[in-house]
Amino acid sequence: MSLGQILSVWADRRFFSWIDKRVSAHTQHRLHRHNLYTFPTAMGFAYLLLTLLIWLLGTNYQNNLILGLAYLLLSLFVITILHTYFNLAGLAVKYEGCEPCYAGEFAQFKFSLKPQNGSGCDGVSFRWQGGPPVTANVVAQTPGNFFVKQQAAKRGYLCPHRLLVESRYPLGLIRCWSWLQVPTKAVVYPVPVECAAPGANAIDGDSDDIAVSISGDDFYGFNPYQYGDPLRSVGWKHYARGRGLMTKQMSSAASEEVWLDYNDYRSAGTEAALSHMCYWAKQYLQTNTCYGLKLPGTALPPGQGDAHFEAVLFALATYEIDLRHQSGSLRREGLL
Amino acid sequence: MKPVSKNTLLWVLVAQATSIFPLLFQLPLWVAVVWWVALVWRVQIFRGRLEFPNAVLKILLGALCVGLVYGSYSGVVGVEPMVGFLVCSFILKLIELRTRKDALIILFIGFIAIAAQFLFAQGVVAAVYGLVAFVVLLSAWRAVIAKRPTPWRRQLRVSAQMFLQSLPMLLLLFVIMPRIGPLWSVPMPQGHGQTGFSDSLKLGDIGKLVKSYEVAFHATFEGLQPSPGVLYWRGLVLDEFDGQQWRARDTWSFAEPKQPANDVPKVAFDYSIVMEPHFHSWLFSLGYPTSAESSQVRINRTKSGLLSSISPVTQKIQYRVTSSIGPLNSGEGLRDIDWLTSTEFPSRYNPKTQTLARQWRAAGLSSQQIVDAALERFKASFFYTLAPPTLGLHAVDDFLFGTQKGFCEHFASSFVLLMRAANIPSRVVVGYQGGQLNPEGFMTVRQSDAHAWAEVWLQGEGWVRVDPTAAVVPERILSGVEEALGAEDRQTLYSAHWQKRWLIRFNQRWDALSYSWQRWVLNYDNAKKDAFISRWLGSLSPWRIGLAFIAVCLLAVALVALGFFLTRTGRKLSPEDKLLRRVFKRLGKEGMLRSPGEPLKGFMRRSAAIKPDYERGLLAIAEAYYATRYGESRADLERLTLEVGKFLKRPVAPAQADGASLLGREVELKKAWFYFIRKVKPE
Repeated sequence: MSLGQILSVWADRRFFSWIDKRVSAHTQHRLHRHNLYTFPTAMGFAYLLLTLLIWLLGTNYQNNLILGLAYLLLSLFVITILHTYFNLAGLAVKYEGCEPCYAGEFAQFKFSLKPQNGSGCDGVSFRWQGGPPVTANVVAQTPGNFFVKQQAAKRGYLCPHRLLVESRYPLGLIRCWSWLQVPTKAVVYPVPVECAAPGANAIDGDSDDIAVSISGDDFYGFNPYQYGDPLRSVGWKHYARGRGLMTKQMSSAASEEVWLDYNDYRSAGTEAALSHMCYWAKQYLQTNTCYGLKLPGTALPPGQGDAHFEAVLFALATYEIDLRHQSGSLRREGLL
Repeated sequence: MKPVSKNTLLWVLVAQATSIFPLLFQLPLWVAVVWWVALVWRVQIFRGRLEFPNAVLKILLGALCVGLVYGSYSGVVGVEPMVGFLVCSFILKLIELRTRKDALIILFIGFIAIAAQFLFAQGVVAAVYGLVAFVVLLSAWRAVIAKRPTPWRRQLRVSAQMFLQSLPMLLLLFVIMPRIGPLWSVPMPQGHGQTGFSDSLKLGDIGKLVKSYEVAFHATFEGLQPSPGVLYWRGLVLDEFDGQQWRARDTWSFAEPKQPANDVPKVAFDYSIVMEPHFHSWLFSLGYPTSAESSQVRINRTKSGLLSSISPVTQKIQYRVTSSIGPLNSGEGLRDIDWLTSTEFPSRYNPKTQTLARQWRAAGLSSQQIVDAALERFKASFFYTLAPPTLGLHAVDDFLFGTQKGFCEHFASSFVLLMRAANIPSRVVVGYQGGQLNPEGFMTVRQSDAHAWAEVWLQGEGWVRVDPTAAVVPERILSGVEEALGAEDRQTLYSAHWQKRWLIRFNQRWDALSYSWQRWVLNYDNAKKDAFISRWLGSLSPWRIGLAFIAVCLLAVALVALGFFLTRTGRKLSPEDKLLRRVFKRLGKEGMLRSPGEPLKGFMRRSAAIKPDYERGLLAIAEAYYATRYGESRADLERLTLEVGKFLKRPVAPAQADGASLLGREVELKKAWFYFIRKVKPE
């Protein structure tokens, strides 16, 4: 690490510790003069140089009109500070939650915006610290939703919490920005990695106590339709007769139960094992297989459908993950 | 950075055209051609018909333009070549306009182009044009940066607003910032059309000049106002004649003349002159200037009692002069060398003139008597015209004894030669005579006031002004050249001056405006600044100025911020609420006030109970309001508009006298409205 890098890391750390003291973490923020900062951009400095050049021209030619132009440019610069500030001031930013994603993908954090002023906010750009920017125009009085992305490096929780809101409207001379602390927690599933079906994993001698697993080929009975039940198991004939939406329950022998067991995959190492299990969970979802999950310390009874799938993936994602531990390590890495 | 959109490109092209346009008149024609080619090229690139130029082509184009500029100005370093280079780079940047950054560079050069335009023209028109170009550039700039497209009218309006917001601070900076002299010497614009006199005079020169209606200078007198007979603005003294034209022999001998030593008490005039650039170094003054000063140029006084600046006048300048009227006499008499030059007469030409002069001398006339005799001769039979017949080789003979028709330079030239033939030192003076007094109290002197007259040396008196033209046509001196001319000549002059009678008033107003512009804007200098500041702040102490500066800055910024606060956070009424407010106002006039918290329909029914003929209208309004407010259809709003319009058309019935004052009712009305809004608008 060169001296410059060390200095910049040090400066960043000082800056953010100052910011963190000023702005406390909330899911909802309103931008105002306490959390908005303004400073000229590189272009702003170039503009000031241009103004100086024109002033020199006016001075050397003793031409009052050219001097007037230089003063006009300078006044415009000052006015632009106000324009840039009032563009952002009053904007309410609210964190609405985040859908889980797979490691390596971008987690989409949902925000809603509500401008306070009458004419909306132009060219407001948002990004997580270290994340890609997304630009939004907020039209007057119409709350709008949008997503700020952050790449999920590995499974577990993704907790970016410093949101940069910035705008260079209207002339790009002045940058007005704010660092908002937002308590976020996105679940990151392990990335699915294809692998061969593990060997004799389906038969589990110890599972006699599980009487009937409601999956298989033999018709067992009807249950009222629940959200998440696969559409192909809906009793459509039943529905056509006007008897309501029912789901056909199929039964299969306990011997055909499928278990996603950590022990079958552990040989590849923890992360690889979880990735393989994730792959098979996806496969089971597609083939509508009823399956259970066994992780050291956790087990999910067999089931099917999207809700079950999400529960399984959540278990895989958070296996051996301590939230506090992870944010701590991220902080040490300088990412937070 | 992302490539420019069609909208952005269009804005940049328009902004560049606006800022470049006035400069094209100052530059050779090929610049306009290059611009046109670049413009078409860039548009074709946008339409996909042409490619961006590659590096080699760009270098070639650049080199071509440099070569052309160098060739056009034959390598001279000056303002015009500098501006030429600027404009060329401005133009060539167009064909490599790919990204937003390029667009911004073009716009930045545009601001310099506006500044460059002010090097050549500083009048009111130039300033207004520069302002328009500024607003257009600003709009283009906002279009380049903006993330959402905006209609061009709105774009221009917002830019104009931004200009107005920066106006207070601009004025403050302009008024308060000290003017520093030039930091290093710079080349001045050369100007291609030198106006006014040249440093020599041929017969017919002034005749051409008077056809121009251009302003030569403005003058303001303080204290004593001069009469028309005094208004001889001396510019150049010409004392060398080569048979064809008059020249100044010893143009600028800057020996500081001693104070005139005449015993005759003299009349002195104090005046200031704002002169248009004429690209020569001579300045104009009345009589014999005893002092002259200017904050812009250094002024010298010459031995022949003229003013001259150190460098040619390339910009409008202002100077103050104190002049005394009367013969110029240094008290030393005429030096031999001066005597010789001012009596020099080419003896090969004009024999008749020489004979006449010799006759006068032989008759024993004194110098003064000879002058009088010559003037008598002119008065008797000479004729003043803009279109004199051509003269032959012996021009003076032909004029004096033949045609006897001429313009002022004919009279002056032949008079001086006649005097010289009689061995009286004499010389031609060119300048302006007269001037138009504007109702605002200043005098405008135009090229049409150009004049030539004579000065003769009379022993014991000094150089005395003699105007032979005045002997022929006294009207010329009293009321200007137009009055002095015959009808036909006057017609030529009118058409040359494009001056219709109804335009005169406009001209005077315009003159007054441009004169104040020059005095207060273009010539605003440290002296004026100090006077202004001490008038407003009481003294010139730095801390007072600093405090005032900060105070005014803060005030201006606070005002703009307040404006933002009010307009951007203010409650905006929806159209249906606005309509309803008008109905409430109207009902209030007739004494029906909505009490706080009263439902709309209830209030309408109550009002209808008082005024039964309103019932249908009011209920329809209430229905339409609810439909608009809680429905989605545009038709409901139209229905509401229609109903409200119908209702408001009814004649106003006088309010019932219930003792409440009108003011009280107004307050109540506002309160009622406030409660209504609070209730209806869910916050």
